[in-house]
Amino acid sequence: MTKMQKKYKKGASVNYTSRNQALRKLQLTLADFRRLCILKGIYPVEPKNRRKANRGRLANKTYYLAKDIRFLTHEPIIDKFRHMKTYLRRLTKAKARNEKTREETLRNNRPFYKLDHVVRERYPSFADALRDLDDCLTLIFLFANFPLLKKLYEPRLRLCRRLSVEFLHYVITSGSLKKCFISVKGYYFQVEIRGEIITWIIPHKLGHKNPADVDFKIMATFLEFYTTLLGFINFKLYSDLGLVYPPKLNFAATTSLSTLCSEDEFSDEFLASLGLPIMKKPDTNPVDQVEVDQEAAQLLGNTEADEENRRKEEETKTLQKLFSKCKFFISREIPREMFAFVIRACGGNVSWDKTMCPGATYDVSDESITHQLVDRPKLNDMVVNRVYVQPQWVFDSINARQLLPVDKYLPGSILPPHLSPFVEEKEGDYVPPERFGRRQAEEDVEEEPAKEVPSINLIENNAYLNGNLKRKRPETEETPATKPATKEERKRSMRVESGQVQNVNVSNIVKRKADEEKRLREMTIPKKQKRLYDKIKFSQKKKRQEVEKLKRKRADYDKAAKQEATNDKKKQMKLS
Amino acid sequence: MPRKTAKHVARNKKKYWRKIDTQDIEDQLEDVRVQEMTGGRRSEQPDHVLYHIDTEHPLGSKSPSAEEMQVSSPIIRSIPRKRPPLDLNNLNTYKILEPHSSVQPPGSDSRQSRVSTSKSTKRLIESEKCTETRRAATKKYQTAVKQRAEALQRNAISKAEQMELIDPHVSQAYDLWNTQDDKKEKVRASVGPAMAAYVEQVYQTYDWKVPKHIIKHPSKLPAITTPLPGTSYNPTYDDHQDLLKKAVDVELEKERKDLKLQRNLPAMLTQSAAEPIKQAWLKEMSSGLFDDDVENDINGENNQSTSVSVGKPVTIETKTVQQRNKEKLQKKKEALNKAKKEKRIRDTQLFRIKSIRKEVDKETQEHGQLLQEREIKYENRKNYGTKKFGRYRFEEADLDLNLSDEITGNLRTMKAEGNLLHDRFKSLQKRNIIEPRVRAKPTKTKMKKYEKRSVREVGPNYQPK
Repeated sequence: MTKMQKKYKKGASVNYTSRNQALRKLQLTLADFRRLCILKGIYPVEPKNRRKANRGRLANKTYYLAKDIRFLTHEPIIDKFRHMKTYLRRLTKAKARNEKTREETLRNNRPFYKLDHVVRERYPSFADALRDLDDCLTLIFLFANFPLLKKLYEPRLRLCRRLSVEFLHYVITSGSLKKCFISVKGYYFQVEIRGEIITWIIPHKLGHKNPADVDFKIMATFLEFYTTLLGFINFKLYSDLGLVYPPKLNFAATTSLSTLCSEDEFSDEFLASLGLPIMKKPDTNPVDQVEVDQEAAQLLGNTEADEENRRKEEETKTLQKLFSKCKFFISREIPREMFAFVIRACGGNVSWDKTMCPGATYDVSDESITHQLVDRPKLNDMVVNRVYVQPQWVFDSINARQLLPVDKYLPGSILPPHLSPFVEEKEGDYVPPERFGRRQAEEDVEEEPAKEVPSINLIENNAYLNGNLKRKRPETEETPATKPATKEERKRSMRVESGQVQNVNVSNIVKRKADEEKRLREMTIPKKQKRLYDKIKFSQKKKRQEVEKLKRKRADYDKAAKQEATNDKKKQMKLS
Repeated sequence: MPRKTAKHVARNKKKYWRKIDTQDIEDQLEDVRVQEMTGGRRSEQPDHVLYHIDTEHPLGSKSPSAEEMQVSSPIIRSIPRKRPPLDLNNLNTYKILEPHSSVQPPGSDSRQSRVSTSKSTKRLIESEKCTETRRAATKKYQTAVKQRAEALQRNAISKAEQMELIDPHVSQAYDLWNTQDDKKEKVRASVGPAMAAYVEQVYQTYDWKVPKHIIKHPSKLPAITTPLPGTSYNPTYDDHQDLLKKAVDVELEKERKDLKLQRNLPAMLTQSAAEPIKQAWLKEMSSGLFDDDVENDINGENNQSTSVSVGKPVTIETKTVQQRNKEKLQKKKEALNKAKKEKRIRDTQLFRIKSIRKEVDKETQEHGQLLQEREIKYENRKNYGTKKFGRYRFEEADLDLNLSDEITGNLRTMKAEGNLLHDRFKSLQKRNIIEPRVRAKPTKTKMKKYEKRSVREVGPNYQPK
């Protein structure tokens, strides 16, 4: 006989640990345990069967995987937590005894822990870290906008500000900005770094309000980890792009103002203004990721991927040089930081009032300014050779990947709606003509390959084309053969005419061939899937019809509007 | 007033002598003694010792006023004066020990040792000196060794601090993903992997095996949800309406749930409906308490005594054996009929095997579909759902939106909505990263109130004794 199995010796009851059990095992307080879990990326779990996990009892408990807790026991940070505890005890004692020197020495030797190994553990490769950057950036940009609070450790706040500025500078120099959007919540930005799409939010600059139901301690712990993470990411990004880290400006910032604050602070403020380019390492060639990808695609001979890549690359290039011929001036009433960042990320020059922020490179009176961003209803003195636009124009232009006509964005005018670039229309959706931008750009690009496609296929399908031509010729000869009736006519018809170049529409042939192939493919679909296929086709057809209808309606409406306008004009003419 | 008469006191005892104040004489004598101790009697000293000629303020000049004195010695409090370096030879503590009297002690110092001239003592002294020097040499050597060791340690610590203990608030400038720990490699090469593992564990630098699931996210929801087009600061009409509709739907859903809860709770009566019930209850409770009720009861009792009982009288019906037998037979027949019918149906089913098969197929297919749906649902919940940890369930935050009249269509006058910190916190909860919690209210212990007996006694009917 085998030994009798005891209950709760294996399975769920062993695999899961309740939070209190974990606390006892790690000998930590609840607050410390929470902090440790956040730093190490250990999350609570929901057991499939709560009764089994809790030895038959059905209590509402928070569970962790026992394996995770066992993993936590090896963590050196736990030791540091204990150091911190004793430090705090000593500090309070010294404070209570009014021992100033002891307090100072204690403060100077404040224990701290480093999270380098944790970052390496949680993100084994750089790509992993990039993939998880959304949360990190949002939180750091959020805290960077905070005032110095009592709850917040001051060096960390300063670090947040510095890291955020560093990241923005990287985006500017690498030109990786893709989308931007102003919502009521904040500014959404999307960048593409090494093929990873990263989205983050920067809040509007408003007074600080601490929401009541948010545990600030937890958020501060997340921040602690994320600052470490972003520090390493920034360094890696900078060094890969061949930039000097920590970032330095290309010129030495020295003006009369510098007597009021230290040199470092002054250069930091210049850096934070985002108006000036940063220094590159003297002799390094940055690795261009895109080129490598292209080569690989060429080697593989994957024309479709190649096409897609080329399109993307072109788009990024246009976006990087979007404002290259523009010189902007930002007025006082506009959130300067965001617009300076966006304009510089698209290759523009930007400046602002000298009294607003350091780092202004030119004055309002500069004649080479092409665009002045203005957000007030009326302007008193305007300069002739520049355009005054409302700030939305910048964001809309970036999302449209082209400089939009400014006539709708003049100061005081009612702006066209600010559309979200994050809405992606599916293929075949109806897009109203007001929706400029990405969709329109796509259409433009689509035309180009249509012209170029036959040139590629012509070479490949040379034999096929020849065959087709041969087959065609007898057809053309046969039809007139039945017509001639009389001899004379026959005689007349029997003569050698000068040969004409056969006008072959290559694209048509290619299209026909593709259609035929498609039909053949459709025929091979098994019966089961055929029904589904038909369904999809049907829905597509319906959609197309709907779109057609909408388009027709729109055309009618436009026509009517035009006619009305002309009629009005005529009436006015008559009246006059 | 009676005249004071002198007391008759005996003069033959010292106790009864008249007391004369000799304080001034004592003072004078003390003064002289002090003068003698500090440089001799003043009266005997020449003038140049006691006085000096003031060359700074000669006789005709004005004496410096109090203000001038203050000006001449300004006290600068703001600048912290540097403490003069400590002169160890001139410490107050030693000064006190020195004889402060100029009066020479009587006689020669008895403590001074007389030098003996005997050979043995000389030898003794010599050896003493020798040992003394040797001891000094060894002490010097020991302190030197100690100092050197201390200096070494200090150096090592400072170096370690420089190497490792860099402030985490200054971001580290090294490539985390491409660096290899040279120190570890070196140790491994020198002592072998097993010993190296042990050393690393002692110094807490051992790379423990990381559980695989740590790299995974607990939810597949994106960290930043793409903003709805209606949340734009200047949205199109349709987009904004969509957003509003969404918000309204959320509110309606909440209301519906609330209504459902209300419906399932025991019905709350309106005041008018509850009135008769209340009255009846009051009547019932107060029956027999007041006189009029007693009269009513008496009347009721009178009525009762005249009437017969209300219900029918209960009669017990018994079945005869015959009846029971009949019933049994009947039951048997019914069962037989039923079996027959079932058999007939089964027989006919043989002919519709095909259709039955179809039915079965259909059923299995439906079952399979249901299973698949459930699986998909489970999968979705696993990947995108918010799980329940602990006591509290996650509650979705409200949508951030501008109402129709809040949209200005202008960046300067735009009304910002929502708090990003709150949004982040909720997002973390939604993605199963942290557990939802409810802030614990600070518990206040209830004050126990009591009256002193003396106070309690003084009531309205109190009569002092």
